[in-house]
Amino acid sequence: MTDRIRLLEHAARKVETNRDFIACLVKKYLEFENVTEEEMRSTLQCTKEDYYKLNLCKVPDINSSDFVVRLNSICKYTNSSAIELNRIIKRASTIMKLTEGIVEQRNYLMAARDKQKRGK
Amino acid sequence: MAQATSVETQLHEATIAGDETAFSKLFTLYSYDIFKALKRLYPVVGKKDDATIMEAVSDGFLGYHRNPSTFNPQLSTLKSFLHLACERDLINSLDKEKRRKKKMQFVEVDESFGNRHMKVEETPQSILVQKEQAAIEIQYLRKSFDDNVDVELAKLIRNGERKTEAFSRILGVENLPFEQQQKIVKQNKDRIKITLKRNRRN
Repeated sequence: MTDRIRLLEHAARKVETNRDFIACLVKKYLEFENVTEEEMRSTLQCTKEDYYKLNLCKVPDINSSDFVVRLNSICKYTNSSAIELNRIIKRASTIMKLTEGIVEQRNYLMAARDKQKRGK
Repeated sequence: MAQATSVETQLHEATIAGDETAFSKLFTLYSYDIFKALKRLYPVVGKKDDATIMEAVSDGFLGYHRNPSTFNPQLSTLKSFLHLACERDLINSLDKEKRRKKKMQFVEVDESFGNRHMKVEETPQSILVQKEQAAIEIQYLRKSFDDNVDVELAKLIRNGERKTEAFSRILGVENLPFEQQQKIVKQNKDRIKITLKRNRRN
């Protein structure tokens, strides 16, 4: 792997925890759907370099009126399939909302248990 | 005084406006040049473990991305601004490492940690001896550690490997952020070294 791609990969890994970046959505998608990076690249029809460039792009707002324009601009820049990226972004956003919901519910339950214990 | 080029100004404005591709474009445009320049400026670090420089480059760019208003296009080019940011992050990380090393109480003084790179003239006999020694060493390591991962880690330590990447690969943590990798690698190296030390005493 060239240094150029290693650098992109390194930065992409670093922003995997930052929800502003596509890297974060991609990571969640890979984990949840049990897909490898190679499979993801072939789905998106892009090269390794383009894949990491895509990871370093910010997530477009799904609810904005110009979402499609923004999505197309990202796909044009990263030479990736707009249809697939659209599907991945929407699916990953749903996964994130779902998992957050579960964590929140668990926290509520824990708080309720604490209160019950104190009540006793 | 050099000012930002028109491309840089456009990318800077796009970053401020929250353009989705701006950061990626900027990183692709300058990160490699800055990485190469830092490798030239800090050859020892570059040779030992260039992941430290990569980390500094990523940090420098992300610092700018978090707060792009710190850059003034009238005062300098964006490239030199980012170069300075990355270099500052690298210096901070090296200082941190230096302080950490100073705090460490134990120093590797055992025989097995010294003279690792001694070159031996290769004759059939010396090759045979080396092979035998390697087999004995593996046997010894297998006796000391139950886990194959630990054996591989111990081999790397005894061969004088210092790159975090090499250890991360064995531990299977190469996908984690670099700082986390360093932490996990250090914990495991310390554990292995203590076991090796203890077994030599026995």
